[in-house]
Amino acid sequence: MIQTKEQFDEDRRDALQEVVNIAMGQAGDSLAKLFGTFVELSIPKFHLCDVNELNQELSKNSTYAEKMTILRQPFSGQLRGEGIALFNNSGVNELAVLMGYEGEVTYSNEREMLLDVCSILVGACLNGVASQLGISLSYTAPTIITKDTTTEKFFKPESIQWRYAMIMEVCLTLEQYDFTSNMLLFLSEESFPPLMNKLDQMLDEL
Amino acid sequence: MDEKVSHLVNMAVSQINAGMVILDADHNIVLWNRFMQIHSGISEDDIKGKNLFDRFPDLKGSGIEKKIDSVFLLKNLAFTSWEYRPYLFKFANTHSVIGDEEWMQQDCTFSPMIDESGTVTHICLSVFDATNTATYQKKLLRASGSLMKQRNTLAEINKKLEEAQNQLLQSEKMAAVGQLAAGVAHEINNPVGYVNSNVSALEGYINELLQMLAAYEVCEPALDQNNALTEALEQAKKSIDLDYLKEDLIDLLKESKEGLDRVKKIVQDLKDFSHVDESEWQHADLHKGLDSTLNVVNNEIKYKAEVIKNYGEIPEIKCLSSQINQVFMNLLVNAAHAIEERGTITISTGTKDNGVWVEIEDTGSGISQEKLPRIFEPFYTTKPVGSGTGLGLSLSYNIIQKHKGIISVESEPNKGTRFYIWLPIDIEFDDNSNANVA
Repeated sequence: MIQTKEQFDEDRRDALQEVVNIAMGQAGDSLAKLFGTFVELSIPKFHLCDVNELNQELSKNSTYAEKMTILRQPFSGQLRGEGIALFNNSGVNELAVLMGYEGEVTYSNEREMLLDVCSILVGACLNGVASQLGISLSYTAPTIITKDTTTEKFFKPESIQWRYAMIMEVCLTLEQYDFTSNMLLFLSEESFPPLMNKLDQMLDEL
Repeated sequence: MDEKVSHLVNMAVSQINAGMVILDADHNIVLWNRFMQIHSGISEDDIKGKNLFDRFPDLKGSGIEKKIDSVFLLKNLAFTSWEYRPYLFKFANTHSVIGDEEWMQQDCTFSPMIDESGTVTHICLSVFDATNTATYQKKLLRASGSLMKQRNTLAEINKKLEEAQNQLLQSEKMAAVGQLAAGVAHEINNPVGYVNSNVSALEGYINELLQMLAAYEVCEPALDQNNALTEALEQAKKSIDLDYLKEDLIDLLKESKEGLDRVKKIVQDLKDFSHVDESEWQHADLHKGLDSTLNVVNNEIKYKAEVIKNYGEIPEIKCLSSQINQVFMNLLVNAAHAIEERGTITISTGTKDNGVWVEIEDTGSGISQEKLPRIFEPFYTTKPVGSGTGLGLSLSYNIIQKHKGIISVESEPNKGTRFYIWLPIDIEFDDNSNANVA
């Protein structure tokens, strides 16, 4: 952990932030085109944290104390990890219209739509990063893990496999539709060396 | 890619045991592999170049367009899962011999096909048969559903059993108390009987003795006034204070008889209350029941409350009077306990709808709105640990239910509580089994 923290020095952090900001800019454009409405993507925040500090770190964001529906989409390749999407269960009906579901929103429609949004968010965040770093990722179908729970109840240190991970936190807001989703991308520890290598290559090319 | 490999790739696309469809940017079908041909019955030649949504209009307006858009725009993967969308293409179930799904359950993935310039030119749609998984999953769900149902039924039965057991326990206890009371009453009755008859005889004798004494007193003036005997007589009269003794003797006898009457009444009340030999449905006067219960619980009430009786005119009703008395006792004792310093308990009766009603109202501390719905639950008590079993009202409720009556409660904190009971005059049973439950 200490070693990893040292490795993730200021230069590399700046480089990653730059890459991610560019990716988010592209993603925001694409999402706006897709939804046909103004989309706000927050500037991604990075946390490098030990599994035991996770809840403390997340508690800084008060929205995580609410009960939410939690979805997961794993990704693999040179970067491995999971995208965790958190929905606060509001604005679902409006979203259904944006996502092209006609008629009454059934339970199944709603579930599939949340899966769609999870997949879109994970892809939007990661594809831009992957293409800039010149790596290729593969995605597994997303699943709904739980509904109506808080992150604190969901992330139990004893049930998490990794000891520490890099977390990238992004928030998507469709202001006109009262819809918010938070995305937590967990990058596993074995992804650090390849990520650092790629960042170094980029820095060398500057 | 050399020709040989390219040929193999084509073979693989054709032979792979999953559906593969390639769409261009206008959603026109470019490739339709063997799996799709076999299951749809549509040849590739028939469908090539046709628009996906024209050929499969059911897909319109169900979010698929946006999924495809998202793949083009974000170079993303998009998915459908049989759990939320059983199928994308309506193919007959592969389990045609043994199986319960009518249509093939499908998991689908939309993947981007990106050219060298980084643009998504086509989409590859893969369709996987998930019928097996779906069947197992649904079976599991059904099994766990029926398990859950069974569990709930069991829990309900357990609860009923517990209630029945509590009631049995309580009624056994009450029966024991009743038997004890009846036994004690009987034991007291005997000595009280002969003391009573002796006192009556004693009264007669004393009256006769007093008459005798009066007769002697009439003779007194005839005695020699200076005689020593006369003086001794005067002395004796003075020393025993004969006049007071004569008066007090009458009073003492009268008080003793009153005391005996009271003992007799208590014994009668105990007998009435316990009704050991009356565990059958009989016509009974509720006023009598109320009065004898009041006498039995008098000790609990007399220091707390004044009892006001607003008795109306009521007919006798068919009931298990010992059990109805038990209800009255529970309500009266609760009313007394609810009163902190001193208050009143008002008992009113009357008739309504072919039945008789009894209201017992106190000026006690009342019951809060949150607690009110729970007071008839077994083991629910607001009294300190050890003071109440929490069974009294639940038992009362069950007794009134058994009589096909109504018991309800109104309460306001710090004002008081009013219990209302209504009982039919002539209870009718659906079957005979109920009538014997005592």
